[in-house]
Amino acid sequence: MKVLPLFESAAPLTAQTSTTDVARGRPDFDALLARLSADPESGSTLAHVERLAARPARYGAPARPLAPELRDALLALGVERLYAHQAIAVDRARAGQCTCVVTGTASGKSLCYHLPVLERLLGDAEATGLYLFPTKALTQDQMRSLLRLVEAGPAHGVGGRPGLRESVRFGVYDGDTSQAARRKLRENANLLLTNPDMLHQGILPYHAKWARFFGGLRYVVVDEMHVYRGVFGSHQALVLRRLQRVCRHYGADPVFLFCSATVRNPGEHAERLLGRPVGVVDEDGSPRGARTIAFWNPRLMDGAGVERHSSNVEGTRLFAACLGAGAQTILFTKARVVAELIYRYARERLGETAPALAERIKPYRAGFLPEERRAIERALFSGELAGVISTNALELGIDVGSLDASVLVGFPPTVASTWQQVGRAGRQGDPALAMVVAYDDPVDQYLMRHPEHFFGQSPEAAVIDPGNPYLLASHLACAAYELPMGPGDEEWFGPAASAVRRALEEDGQLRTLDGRAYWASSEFPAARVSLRTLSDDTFTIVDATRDNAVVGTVDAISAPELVYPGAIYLHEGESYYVRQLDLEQKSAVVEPRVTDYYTQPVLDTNLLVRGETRAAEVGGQPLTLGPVTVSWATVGMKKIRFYTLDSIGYTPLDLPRLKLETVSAWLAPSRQIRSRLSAAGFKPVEALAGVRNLAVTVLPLLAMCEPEDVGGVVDHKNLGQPAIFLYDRYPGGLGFCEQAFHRFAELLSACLQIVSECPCERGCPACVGLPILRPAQQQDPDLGSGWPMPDKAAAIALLRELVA
Amino acid sequence: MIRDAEPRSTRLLKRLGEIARRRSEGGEWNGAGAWSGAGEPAAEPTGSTLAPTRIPVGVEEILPGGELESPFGRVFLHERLRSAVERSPGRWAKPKRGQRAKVRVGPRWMWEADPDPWRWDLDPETGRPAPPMCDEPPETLAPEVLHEELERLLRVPFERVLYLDLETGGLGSSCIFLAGTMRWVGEDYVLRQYFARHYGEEAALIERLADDLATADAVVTFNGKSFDVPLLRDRAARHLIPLSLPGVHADLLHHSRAAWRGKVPNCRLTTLEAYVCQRRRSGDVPGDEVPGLYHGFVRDGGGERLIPVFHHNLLDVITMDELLRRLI
Repeated sequence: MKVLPLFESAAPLTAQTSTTDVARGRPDFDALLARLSADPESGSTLAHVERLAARPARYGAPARPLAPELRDALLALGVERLYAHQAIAVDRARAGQCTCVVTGTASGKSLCYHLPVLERLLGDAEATGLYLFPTKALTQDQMRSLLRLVEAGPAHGVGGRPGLRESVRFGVYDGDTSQAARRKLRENANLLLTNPDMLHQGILPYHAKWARFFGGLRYVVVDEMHVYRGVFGSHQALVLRRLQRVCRHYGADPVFLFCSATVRNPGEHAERLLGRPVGVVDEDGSPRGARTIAFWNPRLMDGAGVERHSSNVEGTRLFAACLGAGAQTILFTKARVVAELIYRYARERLGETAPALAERIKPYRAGFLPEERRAIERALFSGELAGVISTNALELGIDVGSLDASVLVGFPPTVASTWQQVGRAGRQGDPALAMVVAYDDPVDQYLMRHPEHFFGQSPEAAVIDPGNPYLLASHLACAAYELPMGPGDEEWFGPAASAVRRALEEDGQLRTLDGRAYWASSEFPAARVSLRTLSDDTFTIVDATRDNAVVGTVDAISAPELVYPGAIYLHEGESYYVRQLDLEQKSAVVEPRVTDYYTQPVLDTNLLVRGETRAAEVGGQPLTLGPVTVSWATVGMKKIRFYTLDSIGYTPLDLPRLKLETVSAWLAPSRQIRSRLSAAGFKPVEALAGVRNLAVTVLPLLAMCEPEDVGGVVDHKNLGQPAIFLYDRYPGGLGFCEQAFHRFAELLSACLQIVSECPCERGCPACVGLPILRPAQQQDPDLGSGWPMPDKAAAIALLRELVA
Repeated sequence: MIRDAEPRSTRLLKRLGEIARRRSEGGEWNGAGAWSGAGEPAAEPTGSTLAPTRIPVGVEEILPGGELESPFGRVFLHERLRSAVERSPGRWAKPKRGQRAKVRVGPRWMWEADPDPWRWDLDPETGRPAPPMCDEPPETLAPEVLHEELERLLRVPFERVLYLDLETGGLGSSCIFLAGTMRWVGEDYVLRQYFARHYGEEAALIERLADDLATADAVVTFNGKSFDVPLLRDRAARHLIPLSLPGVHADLLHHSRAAWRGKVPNCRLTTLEAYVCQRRRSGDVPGDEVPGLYHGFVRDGGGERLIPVFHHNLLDVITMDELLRRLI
């Protein structure tokens, strides 16, 4: 079960010795910024510079000294003292108190749980521990860090007891684990590293095979807690309740240890996830270097254009400049395709100016094979790579050592995750530079105009809803499959549980006998519940010219938007032409092909109203909440030339429709309003499209979801008059549009503020238009074909009618 | 217009929507003490169809037997002699060594009609072309292991050998609802079927079965090494019921593969029954329909629907014995 370390350069787990004044040439960031803004080639202006002061380390010691085996292991890794927060966390965990550690990036959070857990395993042969990480990649990374810690320990324990290496039998149990290894882990492991999805589908339903493990469970670690919000977080909360039920069944009551990046409400969030009180440790004792954060806003194009210079090209320029200044740099993008695009741009750019550097950059994103990702992480760690262009896949705590600078192309969806990405540079107390390039979308432009909003505001509150009846229905079914549910289970699943249980019983899924609800079907309920998105399936992308070698993977719901026939699929900067998409075999056959264009799918969305659950008014206009069926298909693709972004062709496509049963909130302005708009010379439909675009972008700020969690359509077929529909892109809905329904007036005021503050003249992607390079274009049934830039004045006029 | 053909999932979504609405309105959707059952039907807006906990239609009429008490609750037991099932003692006498060579492999109807018994491309049930030959997975136990296993089995007093076959409520770790066993009692075999009339009786079923297994020295199954035994262990662990299995376990699937691979289209029990035992089943139920029948019974009663399942389970156990006699 022990695996060999994948690389020998035993990098310290967390080097906690101060290394501020190493005689290593530090890039001069101030000079770099000055050079960048004076650059005649620059397509953007420096909108804001924020300087954050350095902070020294604060140390602490646990009330009782650490076990000697652990102390020696830490010394071997160069850790002589614990930071204050680590010491407090150890004390709390030892005392059996559920704890949430909330400190900055690279503050040594892992030790906060490794130490108490390993100490317990050393002293108690029956005890077990469970680590949960949100991604497989992170699990592998933590596996390596744990391995370094365990291997650093002395061969033998004190007083003849076994040392760390013998006491800790650990391994990764996830979708990539072989059957043989799985069995070994089930039988022997006392420390298991896995992810919530595996726990949900591959462990809890088979808990009897894990009776020993659950019976001995003393600690459960939930790392990267801030990731568990929205859909995923609500699922995770219910999975943790199922876990606690199963532990209780086998007589165990484990202590939960959470680690999180900064969120506004860590304690409350941890408590909602767990369903029990959790204490917070947030006194960050780790040192922090001085940090400079610069905001860049691409300028409007010369002439009367409404478009700004490309944020991607600007990001590339900043990235190349950082590399040129000798700073190891990470560039974050918001989408896979953008990561590939910028990688291409950067290689071309560096190829002309610094060919040696061009060979030392790589893209990194989900969809790469695990080995490829490992290789990139290693190369980054060792300094072999000068730069990496990544999606948020590297945002989580994967340890790639210290980077000097980070460039963010577009603001990440939350303030919390922006700070995560910013924090990727400047580990270990060195000075660091972070630069954010704004996108031409309403939220980014708002933050450029109001940087104080970003720096003044604490990060968003992480919001979950474990009481969502739709999610409860899924997890109560899983829970009943695991163990029949009795009266005590309402304590775990909250007050809505009994109503949902009755609904499941009516549906024939559950059967209550003598006060216990049993799973009453031959199906396996966990199989139909995905914790992440709409779908857990993946498509494999194979290269036909290389004997169908696997190039990468893509999830099923995105496949028709990414690897449709004729698409140019970008991977590692190579462009591939998609020959064929096989929906049966779930594979896309591609061949390498050099092109001067990329492709963008055009989606056709249909919406069907199935009922009305609630009605209200906003600005005197009818507002409705109800179930809808949304279906969409990729109906065509556009070819778009690199750099100029000219559309050079449109090809119709015939792909099957995907269908979604969900919840929508819709607003249908009255005939009077529409007549007044028409009388003023506006097209009402354009006004609605503009407001729809604004609302879809702004809703995440209210409802605490990601932009891709919601969709919007303008449609007149359902009501016989045009209306704006906002819907949850989640089966059964997840309450985002319900939030919108309740706060529609607020939503509309925010839209009005953004659109009237926007300096553009006649509408731009930063207000009524859709942001450039969205993964897919929406084709509105009412707007004909094309790429509408709705009328800004019309949208403002409509909003004034509604907000007044 | 009456829309009673509304699909279930739509109805569930509608109900969940109602719950969501009542929840967002802060309404009194939470009937206090809803679990006690008191007032529960009254709270159902659509009119409750929930049956009381006792299944109104029992299985006594179709499966004579009685209730057994155990510390884990009750379970239904049906018991009878094999001689009451099969009239010809020649078929069910205590197995003797040396019958193996006498077996002519192939369905009787087939070699009676066609002198060439090696027409394995025909389906024994229908006489029509069968699916391609033997796609059994190659992995099986080594011949010497199999031989040793049979030798150990034959050293056990035959009264202490238990034939076992389980029926379950689905894939994965689903509930066990029927356990068929057979045991030699000196003159005849005793067939026992433990039946959980609802999900709450599974624990007692397992406990009674564990008790029988504790008095056996060997267990004979068909595919039990991959299915019945791991599942039984799993379910027993789930109910926290101690389970100790006999030291000898002969899984006849492995022995049959070793003996007849390539001579039969596949090594499913019904195929072997036709080709090796030359017996055809009538009124059998396909294995994948069994879970649905059981869940339907628990939901709506109507024990008649389970008659083919009881029959199927009984025949499986008997066929195991016939196979064993042809293997030793």
